[in-house]
Amino acid sequence: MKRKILWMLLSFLLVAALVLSSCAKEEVVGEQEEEEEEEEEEEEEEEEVGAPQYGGTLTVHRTSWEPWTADIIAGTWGTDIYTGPIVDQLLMGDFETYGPRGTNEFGFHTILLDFMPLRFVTGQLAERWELNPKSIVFHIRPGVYWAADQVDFMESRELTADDVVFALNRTNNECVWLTSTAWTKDGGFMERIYAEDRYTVVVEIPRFDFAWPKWLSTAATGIYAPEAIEAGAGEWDNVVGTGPFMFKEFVTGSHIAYVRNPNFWWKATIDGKKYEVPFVDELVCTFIADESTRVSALRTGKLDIYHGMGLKYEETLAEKNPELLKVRWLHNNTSGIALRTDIEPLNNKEVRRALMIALDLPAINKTVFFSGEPYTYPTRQGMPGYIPLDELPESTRVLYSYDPDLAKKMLADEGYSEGFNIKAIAQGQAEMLVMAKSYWEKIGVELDIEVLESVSYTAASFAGEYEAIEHVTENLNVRANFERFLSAYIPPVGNLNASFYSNPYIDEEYVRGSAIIDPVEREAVWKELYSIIHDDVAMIPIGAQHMLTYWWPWVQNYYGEKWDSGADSAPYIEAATWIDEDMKAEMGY
Amino acid sequence: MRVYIIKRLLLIIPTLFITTFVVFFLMRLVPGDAVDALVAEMGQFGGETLLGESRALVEQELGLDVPFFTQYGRWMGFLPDADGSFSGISQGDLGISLRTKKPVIEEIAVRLPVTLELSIMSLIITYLVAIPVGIYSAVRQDTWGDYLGRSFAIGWLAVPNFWLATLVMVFPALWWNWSPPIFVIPFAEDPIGNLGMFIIPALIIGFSASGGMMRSTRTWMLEVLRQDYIRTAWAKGLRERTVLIRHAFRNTLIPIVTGIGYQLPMLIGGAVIMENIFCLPGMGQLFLTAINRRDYTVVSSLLLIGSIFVVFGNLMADLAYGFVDPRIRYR
Amino acid sequence: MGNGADDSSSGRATERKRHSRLVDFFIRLVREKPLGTLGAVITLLFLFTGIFADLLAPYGMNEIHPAEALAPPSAKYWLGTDNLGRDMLSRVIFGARISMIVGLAATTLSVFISTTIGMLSGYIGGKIDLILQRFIDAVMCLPFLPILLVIVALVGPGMLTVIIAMGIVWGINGSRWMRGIILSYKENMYIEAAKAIGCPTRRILTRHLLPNVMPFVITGFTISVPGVIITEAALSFLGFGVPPPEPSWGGMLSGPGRTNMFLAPWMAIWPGLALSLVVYSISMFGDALRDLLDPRLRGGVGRYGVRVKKGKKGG
Repeated sequence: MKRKILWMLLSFLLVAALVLSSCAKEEVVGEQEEEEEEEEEEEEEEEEVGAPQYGGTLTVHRTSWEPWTADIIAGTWGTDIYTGPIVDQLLMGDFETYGPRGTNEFGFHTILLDFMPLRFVTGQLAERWELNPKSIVFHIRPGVYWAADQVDFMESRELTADDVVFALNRTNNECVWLTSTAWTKDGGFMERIYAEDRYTVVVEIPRFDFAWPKWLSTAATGIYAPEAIEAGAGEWDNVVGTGPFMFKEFVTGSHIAYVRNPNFWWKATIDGKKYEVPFVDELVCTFIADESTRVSALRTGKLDIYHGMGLKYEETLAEKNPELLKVRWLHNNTSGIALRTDIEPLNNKEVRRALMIALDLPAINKTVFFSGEPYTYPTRQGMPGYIPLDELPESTRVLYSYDPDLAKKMLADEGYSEGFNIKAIAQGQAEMLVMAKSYWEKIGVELDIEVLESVSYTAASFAGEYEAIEHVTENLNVRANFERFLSAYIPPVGNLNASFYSNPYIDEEYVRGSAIIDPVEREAVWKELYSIIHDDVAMIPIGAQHMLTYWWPWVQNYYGEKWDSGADSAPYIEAATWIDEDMKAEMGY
Repeated sequence: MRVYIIKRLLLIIPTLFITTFVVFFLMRLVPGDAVDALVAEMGQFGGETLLGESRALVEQELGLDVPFFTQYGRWMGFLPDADGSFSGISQGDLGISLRTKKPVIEEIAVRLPVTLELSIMSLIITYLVAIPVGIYSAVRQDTWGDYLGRSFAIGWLAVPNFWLATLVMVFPALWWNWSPPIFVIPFAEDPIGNLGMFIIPALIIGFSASGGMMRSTRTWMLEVLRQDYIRTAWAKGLRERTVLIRHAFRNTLIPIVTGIGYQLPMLIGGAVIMENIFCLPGMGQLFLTAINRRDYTVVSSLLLIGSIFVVFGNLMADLAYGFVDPRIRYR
Repeated sequence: MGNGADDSSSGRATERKRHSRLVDFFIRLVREKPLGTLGAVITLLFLFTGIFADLLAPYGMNEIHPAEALAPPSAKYWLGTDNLGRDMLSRVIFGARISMIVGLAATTLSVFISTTIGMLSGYIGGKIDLILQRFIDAVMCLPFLPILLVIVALVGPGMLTVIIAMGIVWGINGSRWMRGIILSYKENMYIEAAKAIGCPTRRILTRHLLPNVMPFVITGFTISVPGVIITEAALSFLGFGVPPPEPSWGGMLSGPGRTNMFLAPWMAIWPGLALSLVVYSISMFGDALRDLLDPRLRGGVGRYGVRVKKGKKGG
């Protein structure tokens, strides 16, 4: 009897401990926030309602991927998401003029520079630039200072052209992960980068390349301070930049935090007035690996902004948390099934076309993505070279119809009335392949699916151990898009050209087109090349997926713009965002 | 006794040696190397990839261009590195992570306390739950109390702990607008918050593991209760409570206490999933990431450390067993 | 193993019928361990479902009906459909087959390895024992889940890999226990007698030792199966289990079941339920089996082997 009582007491204590600790945790966190708010609120009491408030912490989730170094050159794509708040680039997208807060001509949901029409691009560290036949000249903005308060190896001096040249040359010489064709070594298009005077940077180019904004103002070209590079750019504590924030802390597996840069050069414009930015004191980016954890964190107000949520949560969130604001956008990449154009029977163009006709593409897109756009191949609306579905020639348009009988007939015409076998690989859940398998069974084609874990999948894609593969093409980036169809990128040299597609005409025309300076003339070339690729069905496109960005209403001056790796405007967007603490407290968070 | 300890310690050396080799060998055989992992991750973000010569450069930098045995020799510290220096296990250097280029020791040092804290808390909860239930079940064998107890144990065994964790993560947020903390709170800064971070995953792991422990306790207790000295005590007319606590329980304690030595190392390996879901930066998470990145040095070092824990845990348990049970004598 | 010995104290008339050992065992199972019997029945049911999956499942295991994706349970799809429009009932049935195959095959492999190593090491002893044990030590050192991950990553995911990986790791870990049992049985008189009359070692092992440790082998088997099934689910969660589109319960639970939890909770409930039910049943049966077969734990109705008459219970 007494034993039982003892046991019950212990269990009760356990439960009590649980309840207490979780309550205590909430209180403690709440207390910290309140202290910050109180300080700011006292100052801002006389300000009118609706004017930006300073202070607070903005908690954002962008990606669950964690950087392993602070040096962008060593770090590959993704690292720049986390160095972006600290380090600036030469150019950026002009989100204030052309985005949702301006004329709304462009959503700025993904902001890779080399697809943005040039008129949407404005200078960041470069005040203005000139495109000459043999050189590109950047005029560096005077009055920008390095944010070196937290380090002792340099003073907060002014940024000069020499600093920019130092950083760009370092990228040129040491970066292995940016496709090397851009740089001066390996016959790239840039020959020399040097500083002409205190505020002028000159890039000598033997020939023009349309993707120049990408090579000179993207992830790997983040302008670090030379002293920071010398002190060891791999350490977060050493990173000195000119951006809106400075580094605060990096807790592996948890988050990375930044504090505001008090001497930030850029000013945000709201309702015609210019404001010193950043508004918030601290920016925190979380790495939360598990999706359900992330959604829960958003729901309970722990996350202020969540970039890139899948559509499947839309309904429940609308029901349970209707006060959340959201924006829907189309993902960068188009997914599909790449077919080997060099292996029987897939090397026969009619066979590939038949396979595409046998699939109900919109149904697959809807089932796998919940909501998406099936027609985004070879390029998408708003990009140069795009041809709307109804303007396609009949021979291409028929590819998008769902007609198993026609497909069967086409196969029979080519001598495959018995059907054949295809071996395919994928990573993850392989949903597209599972669906394709069902459809292809009806025309006698047997699909063997092998699902591999991501690294094995990559190894297999380099080795070409497949006949079909679930593949992704990046069609918000013209250059990366074409790379999937150039002979130069056939495995094992690279793994982008998963179809092993080789068309010398396209190879030549692409080189010719990249050197054309006039965008209209260039677009005509792209259109022609895209038509060929489209007809050849090197890849069966399933389309792109819609994504959502959610944010709480107390996050002000934010319109759901997303940013992508390689972009430079996003930290500026976040710097111009402020938090309405009263609203937050009112809503109970 | 002393001879026994020395003998055991000496035997550890060849064991660990074999372990390091097995571990190293296994990792190197895994398809896709560190460079492939890098490319796989890059593919997530952009259209870039590592081509031809760049790939070779990276491989050389990571020391992957030399044959397998050379790599093993370098890791163990028997063979010199590319620059001629000796740095390996024999010198006490766990090597450098192939991905972050930082010493493995640093990465582990940050994450070890988290895993340890989680493990210890889980262990405490497991024992608190399993022992009373196990004993009760044994004492009331084949009655409804026993059935309930065993159902309880097997119930916990049958529900995968990650499933439970997901439920805990999802539904409270849905119903009560509450979710466990997502940020790491160091113990020094805020002990209660820190415990709050661990309490839920610890409860889940603890209850999950209690199933197995409860059954072992029950089995042991049953055996003890069959012994003649218990029968004697009973025949003497002692009260049930005295019989159980003064005679039975103390003898059951032996395997339970020594069992800690066996349990702790297992928990270190098993927390991978919980750490993933609850954003706890522990060794389990590091291990999973390292495997996905094919970061050989980190994986090998983690397995080695895990092995050392296991070996010493076993040794401690065996010794404790020897001390506590007077019938056991080690040669 | 009689059925009259312990009835004398209660004064009931003892039955004199003699059954064969197997039938006797089943009678005891049903009479004394009702829960264990239930467990056995459920297990057999699932086994049956797994074997005859092709006949029982109304739809194919990867047959899609995209227009009816994420449909709740209805007359047409008894357990609803998943995110690709596949019938959940069919997938759970096929999942039974896969989970059963993985569970039973891996456990059989592990028991085979444990027993073999245990017998070699325990019985023969000497140098072989020493070397083998050092090797076993080395493998046992390695933390359990991590080493499984490495092995699966090594060979590439697939049902066979998962079976072999779990079989080997479990087997080696369990060999220590088996060895202990063999060591204690080795000292029995009948073994010495067999040695004395010149029985070859192999014969001793197979004809004398093995049948006597069989109860332990069997109980070890039934106790491991649930663990194996759950571990497969854990491996699937981490992406190292039986790969899609094969419907293993663990995979269904951790993959699309989790991500679609809000929209279609039944996607995860049914595999989870099936998993828990099977594990529960096998465990109950295993427990009952052990209670019946382990000579040390026999006679356990009521307290301490004494059958207490009704009305005298309590205290």
